[in-house]
Amino acid sequence: MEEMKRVCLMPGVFLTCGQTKKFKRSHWYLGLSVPLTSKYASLNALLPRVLRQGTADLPDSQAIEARLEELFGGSVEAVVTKRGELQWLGFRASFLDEALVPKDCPILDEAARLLGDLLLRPATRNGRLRSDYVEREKQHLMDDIQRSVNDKAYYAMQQALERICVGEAYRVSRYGTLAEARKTSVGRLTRQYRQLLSSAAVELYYSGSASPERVERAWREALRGLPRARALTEGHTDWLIQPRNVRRFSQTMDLSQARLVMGFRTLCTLNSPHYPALLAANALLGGGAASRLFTTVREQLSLCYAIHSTLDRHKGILLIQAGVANDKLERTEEEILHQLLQLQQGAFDDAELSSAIRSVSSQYRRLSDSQLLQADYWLSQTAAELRISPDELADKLEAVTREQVVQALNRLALDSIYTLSAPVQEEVNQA
Amino acid sequence: MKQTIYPRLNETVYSERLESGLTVLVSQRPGYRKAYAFFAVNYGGMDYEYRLDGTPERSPEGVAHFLEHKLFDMPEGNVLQSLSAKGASVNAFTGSSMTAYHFECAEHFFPNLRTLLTFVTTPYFTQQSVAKEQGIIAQEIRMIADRPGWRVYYNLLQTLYQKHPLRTSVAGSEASIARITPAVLRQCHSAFYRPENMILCVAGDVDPEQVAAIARMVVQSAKGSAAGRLEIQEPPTAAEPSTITQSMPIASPTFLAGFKFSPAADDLLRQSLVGDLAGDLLCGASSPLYQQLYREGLIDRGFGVSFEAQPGAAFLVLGGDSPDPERVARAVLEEGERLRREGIPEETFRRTLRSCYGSRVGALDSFEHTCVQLARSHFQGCDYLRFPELYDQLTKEEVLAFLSEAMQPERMACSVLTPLEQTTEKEPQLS
Repeated sequence: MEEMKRVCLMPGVFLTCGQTKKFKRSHWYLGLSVPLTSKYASLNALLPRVLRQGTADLPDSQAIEARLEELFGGSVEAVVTKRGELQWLGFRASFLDEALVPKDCPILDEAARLLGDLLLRPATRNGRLRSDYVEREKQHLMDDIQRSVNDKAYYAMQQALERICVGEAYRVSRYGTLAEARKTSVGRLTRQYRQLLSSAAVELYYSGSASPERVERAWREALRGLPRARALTEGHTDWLIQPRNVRRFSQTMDLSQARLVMGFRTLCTLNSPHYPALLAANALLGGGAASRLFTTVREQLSLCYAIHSTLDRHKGILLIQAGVANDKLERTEEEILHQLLQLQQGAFDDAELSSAIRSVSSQYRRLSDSQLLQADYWLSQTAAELRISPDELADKLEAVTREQVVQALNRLALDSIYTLSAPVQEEVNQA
Repeated sequence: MKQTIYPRLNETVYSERLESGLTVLVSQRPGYRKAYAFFAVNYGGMDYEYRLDGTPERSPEGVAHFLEHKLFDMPEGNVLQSLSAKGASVNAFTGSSMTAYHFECAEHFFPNLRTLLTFVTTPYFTQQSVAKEQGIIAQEIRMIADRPGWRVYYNLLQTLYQKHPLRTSVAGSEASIARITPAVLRQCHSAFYRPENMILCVAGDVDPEQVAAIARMVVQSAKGSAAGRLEIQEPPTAAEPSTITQSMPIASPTFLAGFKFSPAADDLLRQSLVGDLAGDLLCGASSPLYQQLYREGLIDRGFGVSFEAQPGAAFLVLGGDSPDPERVARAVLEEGERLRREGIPEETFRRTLRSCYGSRVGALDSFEHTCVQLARSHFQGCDYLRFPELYDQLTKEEVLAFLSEAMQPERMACSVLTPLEQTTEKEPQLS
């Protein structure tokens, strides 16, 4: 696997960089990391969208798109992600690798310059971000927040998390709320922009054929003039939460299929020594096609098409989600709890466990073959202040014992059950 | 095996047509840990009516997709589990004209390849397992029915085409899949899953000769009669009425507009390059029309355009969320007219062509994308990786002639989804 280098370019600005010649594209990321709060989440989410609209040299999005086309169909997307109770906002980009473009196209420096300009030299009017851009992107942000309902699986998961984590920062979605998005204004956004520029931690990422030295030089040049405050904003994720009672929530919607979400606290994050065992436990329970929930609830009992469990590695929440017929919700819930109990009592064979472990460790071993997954992995490591390579994690996973997995399963504490289903049709007899 | 080098793409492909009739292609990718295998048949959701021994046959709609699910069953159990146990991530999909089974893994590639080739060519269906699958697929059908993206696309095909079987959902309906029996599955498997109607594509740092050797050993020549596709007599115009509107629980109106082309008689790859280029010039992100619609708040960054081709069908499809889909569709039609009248500036053409080219080269980083394209082109009688040379030949005139053919009101259809009432919530309960 390529070695990932991490260097500090200036206070609070770090570059993670991997040199590889096997891809046709280079992959880039520039992001600011801030604590996730209900008050600022929408304002922060709006920022990269507005910055993406124009720079001092390329004053509107048509000029930016034309520039990207000149750079052989490069792409730059404004992205906002949630890593535990941190919000990351910035740009993800990809460009054709230097090896595949004509020698007279300095694509590495041009890519870094474009990303630097988007952050540091936005299109402005009278010293503020452009109000026409802010208003338009604010509308698009509000549309996106409302649109979360379109993807029923995602919507059900969001709704469940909001309820499970009531009173915790984690309940806030990456785009914040409609009410907060509505309150954003050009004045507030410009102030927040200046504040973040000087105080937020900045993470840079590059994967491609250029040497780390050249990449570092290109980024340094592109970010010249980045103001840095003495004290940088830091955040952390509150994860040690033990549920007291199982809570139930339900919503109705005109749907063909109901959604069931069961939220568990794991009391474990990727910083914990138990994390590899939890990864194995999740894989065994509902992590893939060989998992217990897939093979029983779907394959044996035909109760659903989609069923899986997912893990938030920063927050320590495990969610089981299934799409089922309205009248099978109770039966599915019972079966999930029954299967979990079986596993907690150690009723699984060694082949089942080793298959589960193999399915996850193999994903980590292949990680360096995907620039996107690799970037996400290393940025997550950064968020948790870790430097464990995917191969090291795979090694730890493969060393996990049956006892450790049973312990991880027994630490799972059911917090809440959420259902999204069609309203019950009442039969009316018309005599 | 025959070695073909594509110097402009830095690609090498090994190929051979085996005695059984199966074509094997290996895209060698040095430096990758993962290897990927893609076993595809030239048979999909549109092929529920076919010709066998000169006689038209009709199977229940959704049978290709049903077969895809059922082929994972072997007398000794479901192979999903055995492949997962060997560290493979395995999946399959059914498209309109192609069904494919694929996996990737970092170890045990050749044993996994043998398993893949074996289960796809081994029909094993029991009454009981077919009945069980009817329950699972019914849930899948309900799940996709709740997806706005699927609904809007399916409705578009319903109105863009008058007779073409693309109008029928790949998964069929709950009623049609209830008619599927083991005998139906066996007949379709024997008629379509024949080596001469299939392709094996592999990407990775693997020995091509060993790939061919395993395929030679496992895949035997077919017996019985081969199915043939029916000739489809599709009128050049869209159905009447050409707009279809439906309500769903979504946040904002969303739409797709389609323009119907005659499929190219000879070079389908060239037509798809021209189609993508024409789409970008018409309403891609840097086009004047996109920018105008974006400024006016009529589209957002989710708006997109692409060219699609299936046997007997070719169309340009564009759309996204919009408060006024009709106005956007009308504006696109007018822009097509303007381009025909005023032509395309040389600089714009050169830049857009460069961008399309770069995007296609970059997309080869995805093994799945590469194999899908290699397989599709093979079934169409083309070599996908000669696209750089084809781009060299394209002219403005060819693009304008392409747009002139279909940018006509009678060749256009529109599918619109409008929001339905949202959710209601019950009080939370403790248990």
